[in-house]
Amino acid sequence: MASPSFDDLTSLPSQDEVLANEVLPELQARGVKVTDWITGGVLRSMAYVVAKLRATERIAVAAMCAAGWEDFAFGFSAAPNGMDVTGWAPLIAKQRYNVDRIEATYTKRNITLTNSTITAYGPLAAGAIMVAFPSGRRYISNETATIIASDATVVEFRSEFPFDSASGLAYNTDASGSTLGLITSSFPGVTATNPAPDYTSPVVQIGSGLGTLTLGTLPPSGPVDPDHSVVVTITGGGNRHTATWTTSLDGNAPEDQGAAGEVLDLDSTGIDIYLDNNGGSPAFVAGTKYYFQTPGTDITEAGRDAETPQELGTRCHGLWPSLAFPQDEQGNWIPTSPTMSAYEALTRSISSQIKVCLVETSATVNNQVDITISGDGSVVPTSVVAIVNAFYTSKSMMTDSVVVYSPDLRTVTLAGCTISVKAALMATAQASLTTSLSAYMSGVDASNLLPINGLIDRGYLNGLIRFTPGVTHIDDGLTLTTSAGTVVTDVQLPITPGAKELATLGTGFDSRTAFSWVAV
Amino acid sequence: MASLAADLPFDLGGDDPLNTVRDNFPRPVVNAGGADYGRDVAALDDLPDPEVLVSGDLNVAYAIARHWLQASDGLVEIGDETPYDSFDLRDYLGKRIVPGELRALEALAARCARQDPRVDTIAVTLSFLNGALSLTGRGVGSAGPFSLVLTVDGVTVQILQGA
Repeated sequence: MASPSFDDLTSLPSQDEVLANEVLPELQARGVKVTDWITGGVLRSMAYVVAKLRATERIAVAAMCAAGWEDFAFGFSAAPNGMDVTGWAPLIAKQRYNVDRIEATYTKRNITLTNSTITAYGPLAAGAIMVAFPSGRRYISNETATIIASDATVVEFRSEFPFDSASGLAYNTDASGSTLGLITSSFPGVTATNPAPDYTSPVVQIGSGLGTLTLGTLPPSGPVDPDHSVVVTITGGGNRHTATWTTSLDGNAPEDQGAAGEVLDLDSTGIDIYLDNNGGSPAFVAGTKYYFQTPGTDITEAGRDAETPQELGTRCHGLWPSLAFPQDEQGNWIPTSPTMSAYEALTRSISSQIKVCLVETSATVNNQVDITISGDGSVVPTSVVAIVNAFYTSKSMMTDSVVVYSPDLRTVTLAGCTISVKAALMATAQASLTTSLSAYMSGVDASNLLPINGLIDRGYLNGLIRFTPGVTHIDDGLTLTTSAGTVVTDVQLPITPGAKELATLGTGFDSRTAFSWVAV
Repeated sequence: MASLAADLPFDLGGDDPLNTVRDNFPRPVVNAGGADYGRDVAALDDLPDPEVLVSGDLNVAYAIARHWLQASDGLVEIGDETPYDSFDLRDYLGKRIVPGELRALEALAARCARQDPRVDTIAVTLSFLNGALSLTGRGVGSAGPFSLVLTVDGVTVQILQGA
């Protein structure tokens, strides 16, 4: 009996199809004696029951079969016959990758409880107070709280249920400044509000340095206008009053603030900015940026939906490099992370020019990632570098600033080696050696990749020469010549300190003339 | 009255592939002297063990009795969407039945029974005696007059008469 195919196992016959193709033929084959097939007949109803059981069982078989394939379970591809087996994703993620699904989280807010009476309430256990927003979504207190008398108390609340946007439980959309209803009625004289603070908190810092910004003053210089965004850029390192900085309001050109310790009422918006050393010295580092907006929000922690099967699958595959990275049309993995896939933006003609890539963190700028790209033994046109740069800029990465470079070419001249070769294979050996040496020096020898700023391995070069078909002997005279001189050792690039250098044999390299050949 | 042969084994209408299967089934033997009422398992609310087949008038009696012992959506639940009128007499056991409801229940029982194509006319009476509800049907079928009595009590369901 042939094993059932995948299509066989995942097909979903209807009850009528099972009746027609399986149950009734079987009854007929067994010569059933019943002849009364009127509706309500016993054997007729039994045939329907059997067909229903069979059809249901086929659904189970198909689901188990399809769920074994991660593309279906993680929802990357639609399962056969309209089945949805993404409910198996958490099991597969745990079993195969030891990855737990990220469950939905609660939205948390600061809600102000104002008590107009002279009676304090509390301490109240978490969950003792419930409020409702105009949307109908409700929140419960998330910490032990005492509503003090004749004053306002800020209490952290969390959403009644975890975030579930598909079910309308999109708690993050409830606005600050809403009219809140107090569901728990045992606190006479208490009203609930959720005013938005003047500024977003915390201030987002991109770059290094302990220095922080303190926003607003007591008393503030005035009401803070809403709907502004501000970028503070440290242009010269130092402490408060010595560090120089600029402010950019709503994306406008930077405004030089010199070495001021604070700026009050920025551009008549009511925004007050103080530089705070926060124990650092120097506290502020050139290039660091600080971001904030007005107004802030009463949300202290935004809830999120449970991880979707696709998100979970992507996270699982991220643990397995051969699954995490996309492949090009030749089946080669593209050496970028899923979120930094240059291939997404580059045309095939451009991407095919890039053969060698060096990724390293900058030695001078904390959040900068330097990417150096080139062809094999040659630099790519500046237009290609510009396109790749533009691509990464468009990604608006949260923390990494990516800068794409083109390397400098470092010509290395090979000479000095005397090669004995079988006379009949002389021409073939010379052509082969020219090719293999060029490949290695260009960084595209799959057996020994020579990266940008790599170590040119003289021993490997000797090996390439010696094991060229037809070569019977070489001496140890191979020399490597760069602008730094001629050596008989490995050569570490870069020759120029701090540079990014790509090795090249230069145009017109030919092993026939580079080395001495002896026919044997 | 629909003929017996037209309803065997079952017709889903149109070009349904089941009809092909139906046509391949052995047809009932038609007696020269009258209609054949077919043959089925002798079952009311459970299957007999060992299996017992009934035929003739008694088979029709069982078929009518099943109309009176099955919830109205019983066949739909197993996927048979063919119209089938039924009710469960056991639902009325122990309930107060006023005279108006009695007549309505008898009419319902008669209507359900007449859905069987082998039944031409039938009159049904409902009675309660010694803790058991009894439905008595007297009618005329394609093979002549017949009568049946179905009783239900708290324990058993049985046909007292079917001929």
